[in-house]
Amino acid sequence: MRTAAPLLEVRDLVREYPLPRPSLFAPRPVLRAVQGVSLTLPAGSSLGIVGESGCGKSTLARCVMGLERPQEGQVLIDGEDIYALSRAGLRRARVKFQAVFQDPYGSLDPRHDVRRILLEPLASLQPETSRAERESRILEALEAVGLPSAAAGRYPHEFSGGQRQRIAIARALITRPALIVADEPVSALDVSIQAQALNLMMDLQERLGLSYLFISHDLGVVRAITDRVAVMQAGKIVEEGPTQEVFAHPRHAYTRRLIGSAPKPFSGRRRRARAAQEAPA
Amino acid sequence: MALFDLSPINQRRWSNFQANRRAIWSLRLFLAIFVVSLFAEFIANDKPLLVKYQGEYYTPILKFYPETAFGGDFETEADYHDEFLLDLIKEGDGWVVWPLIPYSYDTISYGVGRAPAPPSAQHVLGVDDQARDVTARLIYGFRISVLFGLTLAIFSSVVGIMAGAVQGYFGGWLDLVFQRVIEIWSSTPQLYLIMIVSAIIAPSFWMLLGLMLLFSWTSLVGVVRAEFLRARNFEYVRAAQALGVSNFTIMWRHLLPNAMVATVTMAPFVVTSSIATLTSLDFLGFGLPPGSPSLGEMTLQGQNNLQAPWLGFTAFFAMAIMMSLLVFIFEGVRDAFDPRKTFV
Repeated sequence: MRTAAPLLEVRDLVREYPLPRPSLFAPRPVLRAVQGVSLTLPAGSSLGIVGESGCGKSTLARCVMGLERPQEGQVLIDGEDIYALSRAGLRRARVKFQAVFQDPYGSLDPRHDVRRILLEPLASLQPETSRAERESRILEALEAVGLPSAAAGRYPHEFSGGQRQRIAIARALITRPALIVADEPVSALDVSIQAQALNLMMDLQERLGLSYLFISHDLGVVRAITDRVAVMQAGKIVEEGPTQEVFAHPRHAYTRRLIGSAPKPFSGRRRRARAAQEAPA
Repeated sequence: MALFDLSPINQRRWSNFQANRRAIWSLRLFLAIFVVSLFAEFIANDKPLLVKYQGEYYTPILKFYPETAFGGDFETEADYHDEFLLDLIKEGDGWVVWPLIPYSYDTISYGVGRAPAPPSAQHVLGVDDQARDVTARLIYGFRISVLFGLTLAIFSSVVGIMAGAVQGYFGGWLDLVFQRVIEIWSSTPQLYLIMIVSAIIAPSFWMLLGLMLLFSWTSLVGVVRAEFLRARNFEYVRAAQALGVSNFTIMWRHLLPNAMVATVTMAPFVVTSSIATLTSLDFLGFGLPPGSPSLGEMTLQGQNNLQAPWLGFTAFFAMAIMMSLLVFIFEGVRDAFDPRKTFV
């Protein structure tokens, strides 16, 4: 499925934060969190953004989610600049893109049950839906993420971290969006649960034709789920390409360093075991 | 509504409150007095509860009956304290059931001789310097004080929460400007301002309420604003924004429940302070319209008639008991909401 405009296009995005003045008359220093980033994401594919902490990848995500207005550049979703829209227009446009956040313990209101959590985007973005339609959407979303329909009446604290992230994904799915912006969606989960959540996301992509903008510092996770990957350093994209290629033949020095610094399974243990063997008894 | 059904945490708060014996007994006593005073018309009234006359029943408290209904001469409302009328009813094979206190707050008792008169069998707490029964005035005055305090607390909570919510949620310049405005506004001497205004316009209950609301709403802004400032950065608030929920809905659904604890612990002091302000205004003669029953007016009479100590003492004890009960209750509420305090 190829349309003329890509689903998501980011053009020369700049986002700066003013810092406190060092002294009363000094000019205000500026932190340039994102400095001229451009990306494209065709419909049905997934793009990973990797980089170390503080490289600006979360700021980029928040700009794409429509939470922070960039100083320069555009975020086009379906060819429409979301920051050129009115506030109401931006809210309506959100039907097409939804978000999954890092911390499944914080991103669900502890006072609301799952039904209310899932209904919230639906009620505010598609208020014309009927009661029966909403009920069936809730069941559909719960089923999509593999939760029983009885979960609707329960509260977030009754679920484990992995289940809560499923609820968060179900909440993002309920308006039937084309794009999901996922900011570190699995990094708060146990390693054993991460794989489950990733499989679910890949499965959903296949079944529903979703696109992901997937932000993570975890290279293994990005490698598993994305088609293309962009490497960010200090607010700029230093390398971008198909995931397999970037991981197999990193061109930029920073990418090589990033890949080299990721822990490899068993490497440490083996070295220690060898050292213990070589040591005189 | 998450605010009103008893979630486990609210059940815990309620049992904490019940464990506080002073608070729960103060609440019971206060509620008893308050409910009784709500029915003041049926407890202290110069019209009988029930009259039987010539085989028919009459309820003068609820209905208007001319004197002619009981065989009198005038078309005006029957004066049930008039011996002549009572004789007429007796002649018509009738009887009269009086309320516990057969005087309203504005009934003038001509039989007491010199006013103010000391407590007697007819007037348990005596009569004031206009020959009105002190007990009756006390009941009506208590009711008006409490209703005024509660109404003002509700209104100023609503206004204060809205102002604090907007400031805390949006923050930035809006917050900065509004904070300065509130600082200036709340440093105006409100008692003088109310006195000046009520010297120009004759004050009524709602008029005074509006005037005092102008100043009392600021007391809640601080805590609500702080709660909203804290909670607007919660992940689920961010999530709701990203999911396209409107600002108003976010404030109402996600942020307000967080601010409720602060509000509930704060609002009681608005109640007590507004009762105290109303009383002081009445004492100074700038409060409720002349003739209305109020504790402040009774205090003023006590001051003007030092030879009649029952006036001052009644007013003093009524105020002291009411305020103490309220403070005990609110202390209990505050402690019950404090998560670090546990009651076994």
